[in-house]
Amino acid sequence: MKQIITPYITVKGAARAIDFYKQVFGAVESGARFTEPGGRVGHAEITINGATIMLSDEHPEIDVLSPETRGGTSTMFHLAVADAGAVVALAAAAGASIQRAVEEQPYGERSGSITDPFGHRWMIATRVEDVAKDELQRRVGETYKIS
Amino acid sequence: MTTHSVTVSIEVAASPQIAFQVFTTQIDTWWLRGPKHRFLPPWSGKLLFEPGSGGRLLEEYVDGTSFVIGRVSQWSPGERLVLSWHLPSFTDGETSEVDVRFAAIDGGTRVSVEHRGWDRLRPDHPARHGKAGRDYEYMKASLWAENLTALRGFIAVHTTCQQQAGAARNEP
Repeated sequence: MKQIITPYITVKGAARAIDFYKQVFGAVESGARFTEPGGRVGHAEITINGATIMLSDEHPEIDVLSPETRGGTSTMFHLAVADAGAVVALAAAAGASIQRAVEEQPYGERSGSITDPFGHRWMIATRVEDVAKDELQRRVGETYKIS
Repeated sequence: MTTHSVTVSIEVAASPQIAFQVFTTQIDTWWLRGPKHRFLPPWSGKLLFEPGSGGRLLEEYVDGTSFVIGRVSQWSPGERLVLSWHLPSFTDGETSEVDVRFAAIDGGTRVSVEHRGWDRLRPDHPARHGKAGRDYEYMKASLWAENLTALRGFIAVHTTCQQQAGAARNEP
């Protein structure tokens, strides 16, 4: 199915960010990159295992700013991978900070979360089992009401 | 002198030599068709590079006539292609310049196009479509992005066929 919602993220240093996403998440640069004479990237497109993300450098004149400048992000990307532990280790080695180490979650994932060097947050997850609702309720106990 | 132009680049899955070869010898196949991308009616002319420095880029029509888009000033296979670029609306003396670079990257080539000289056109020039400054640069760059995306797709198919042919040849 064609993706009809595409995240469009802003970073300080789009060219470096593309390299990071290639190295750590296996992204490919799937579209045309627009670069202004000063090196500012106006638009670029990467694809991670079939899912597209667009990105650009900051454009303060039209209020397009990165999490670094805004002081944080309110969005997190959930990325499904074959080996969450390996990907998080690779991300950390490439400059990401680990928010939550990879561990088994009651809902059937091994996952952890990171902030990449450009301020964007990612939950890196590997599906390990399918958990039925009543089993999930049993596991979380009084903490959550599962519906 | 030209002071601003937006560079459009794309990654293609072929070596710089192959990418250059496809760019130049197959341009009529990968370059998009129709009035948005071709030069003169009936929008079905054949695009053709005359190879080498001094060669021309032409759009040839079935009646034997042609439109000269530009003339090559640098023809460096696998590295760089520089040519002048004229639109049908340009008058004598009006010109722009296209600079295409082929840089080896992991797994292929980054093909970058810088199309310079739009800022030399007078403010009411028909080729501007009423736009100026960065808006205009991005409008022109978007057309290149569409064609480079087509080039990327063409090369993806082309190199896959080559690999399959290579694999087939290696069959005992």
